[in-house]
Amino acid sequence: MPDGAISELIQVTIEASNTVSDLELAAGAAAGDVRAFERLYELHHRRVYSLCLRMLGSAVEAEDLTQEVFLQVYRKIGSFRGESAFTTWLHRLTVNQVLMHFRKRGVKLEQTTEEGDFTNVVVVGSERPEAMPIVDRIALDKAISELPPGYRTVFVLHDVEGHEHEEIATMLGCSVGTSKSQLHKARMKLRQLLTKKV
Amino acid sequence: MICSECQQRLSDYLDGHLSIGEGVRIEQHLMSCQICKVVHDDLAQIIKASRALPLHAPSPVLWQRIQAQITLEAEAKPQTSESWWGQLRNRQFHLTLSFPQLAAVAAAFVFVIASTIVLTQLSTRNLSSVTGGDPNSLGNIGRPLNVPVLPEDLERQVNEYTNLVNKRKESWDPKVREIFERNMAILDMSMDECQQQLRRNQTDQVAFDMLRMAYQKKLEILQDFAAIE
Repeated sequence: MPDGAISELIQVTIEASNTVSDLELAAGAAAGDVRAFERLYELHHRRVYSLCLRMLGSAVEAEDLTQEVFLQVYRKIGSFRGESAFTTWLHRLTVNQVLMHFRKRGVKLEQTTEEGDFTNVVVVGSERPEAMPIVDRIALDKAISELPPGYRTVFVLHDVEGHEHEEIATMLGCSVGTSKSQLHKARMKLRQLLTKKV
Repeated sequence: MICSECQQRLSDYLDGHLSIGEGVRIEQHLMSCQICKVVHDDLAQIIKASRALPLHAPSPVLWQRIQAQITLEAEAKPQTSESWWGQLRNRQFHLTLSFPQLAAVAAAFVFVIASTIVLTQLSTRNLSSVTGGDPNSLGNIGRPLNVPVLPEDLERQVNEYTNLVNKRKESWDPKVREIFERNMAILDMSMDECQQQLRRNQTDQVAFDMLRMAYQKKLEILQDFAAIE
């Protein structure tokens, strides 16, 4: 068996064993086992916090929302029936919490641009003919946090979390075209931010 | 193709959302335009880097905050010393059962209440009529010819479904399992009372009818719950 196939098989096995473990822990937590819930927290809190942090752009708000997400998990764990992976269920819960937070704060995600029309971010002439140097992860994370909320949400959901435009459109209650447009503007804005800093 | 048109379509091009014809037009423009080629490469780099961003960790005290909140919420819940009716009223039910299953559960409750009333009355009547009220008295030894017998098929089906449900219930949602077991316990208690009544008076037709109905009700509930995957 080729090395690639072996590592893929190992990965699938690891994922399968994690799923079983998550299911067992979720069942335990639903039955009131706080240790099982703590273990679920240990396994998934970094992923939840990172998603909150990238969507909100603020460490303080991300911690508050991570806390709210896990309290929601604790309250709703009984409704998790293992029809999907626990990570998928948790991810959806987290995204919903962030979007609710935006709504409470009156953040308009459909707002497309802060700086006016798209043509403003088109690169023309000899503005920067040379290629952008290799982007480091810290700089990219910082640039993401500086995006307007509407851009940031679509960018994080698509490029970081891997959602399709159809899913994003459903989550945000917008059209697929709007999602695509927001994503492109987010990428162009990121390029602008990174070019200035690098 | 002009640069603004090319750059507006770069994300769709990189994500594979363009038709072959549109893709070829973009590629042709990129081969002849260094500016757009640089933008293309930068966007590709951003997309690639975004997929490999590391996870961040919140402050270590976050778990303690969550734990404290959970403890507060647990303390705020009604105490178990509350009356059963109060607990029932305050309980938040999650509708995890289908309508037929809920109907079966409701029917089981009605049956249990009715049988309890009937058996209580019967018990009072029989105790006063049986000499000394001793279930082991001579009058109760040996089965008279008119003693009714449960259909074998009914008992067999109940046993089969009980075995089937016992195998499956480990995979159920804990709340569904709790509802099922609570109802089975109530039903079994009622059946036990019927059997005790029949031990005192083997020809008691009412107690026998109640026992048979309980078996039928148990079978219906088991069949409904057996349908849960």
